[in-house]
Amino acid sequence: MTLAIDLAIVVLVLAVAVAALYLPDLFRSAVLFLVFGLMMALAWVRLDAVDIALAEAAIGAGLIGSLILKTVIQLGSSEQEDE
Amino acid sequence: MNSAGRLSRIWAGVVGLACAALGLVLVIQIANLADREAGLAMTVAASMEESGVTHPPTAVLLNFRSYDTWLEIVVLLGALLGVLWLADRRDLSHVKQPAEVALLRRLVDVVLPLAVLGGVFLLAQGTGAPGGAFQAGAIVGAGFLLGHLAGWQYLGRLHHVLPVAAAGVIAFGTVGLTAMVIGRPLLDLPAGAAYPVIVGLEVAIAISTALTLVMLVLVAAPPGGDKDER
Repeated sequence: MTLAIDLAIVVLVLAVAVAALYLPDLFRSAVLFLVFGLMMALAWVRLDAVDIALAEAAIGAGLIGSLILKTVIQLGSSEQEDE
Repeated sequence: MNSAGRLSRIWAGVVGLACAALGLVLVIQIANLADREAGLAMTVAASMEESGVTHPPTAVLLNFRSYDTWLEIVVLLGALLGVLWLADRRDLSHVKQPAEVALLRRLVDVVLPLAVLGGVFLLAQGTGAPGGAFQAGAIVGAGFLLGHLAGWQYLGRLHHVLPVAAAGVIAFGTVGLTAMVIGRPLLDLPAGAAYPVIVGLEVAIAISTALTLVMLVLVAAPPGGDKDER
């Protein structure tokens, strides 16, 4: 049972990372990066590093995810202004 | 254009293969590592009484290796200074508040106190259980970020951002250099009074981290300014 959860987390982390890198739409990549951060937080919990999991969820997913989302949205709107 | 695209694809493939090879080597090494002793865990466990706290990661981060934590928050302050310089701003007074949405305001009225409470709780239990200053600061910062998006004006009124953001660095510097003035090594915490000093350092780190994270997200306002920000 634990092995199944660990395997699922590993597969999800890799799949979300690959999808975030290779999707053509930047907005979806940014959202998937956020999801990747949350999956990594789960992985840290499974590795018994709860402090790192908290920090990863808050900073890696929350802060950096919101920064990337904000950048993508501003880039999108500035492209519309130029055209 | 085509050759440049192909070249970057080849580069991407090479780097990807190198990363995969490195990952494989790391996996093999870690798999072989599980048989041996758990590194420095015994040494840390033996010195826990001297450290003043009961949670090993907190003892390591804020007592045994507090120099590394100090450098981390210096890096955070450096990032904030870089962003402030690039945006040519000193505080958040220029950020236009988005139009107030009643539903979001009601949500934030509930979430913001919970975020502050959760952050203070994590900060308080950081000495004995998972938690700590960075996590607490990030959660409180996220609460304030939501508050800003809901139309609260308090962050725009803070005009002396840098002293608050540098509070962590200054606190660490004060503690470390005081130790050197007394004649001990840098950042050597007093033997009996390690716990209050650690708590004070954690509070300073939490405050400066919360403000730094909020500033990093908000200070680069778009040139248009009138559009609704997410």
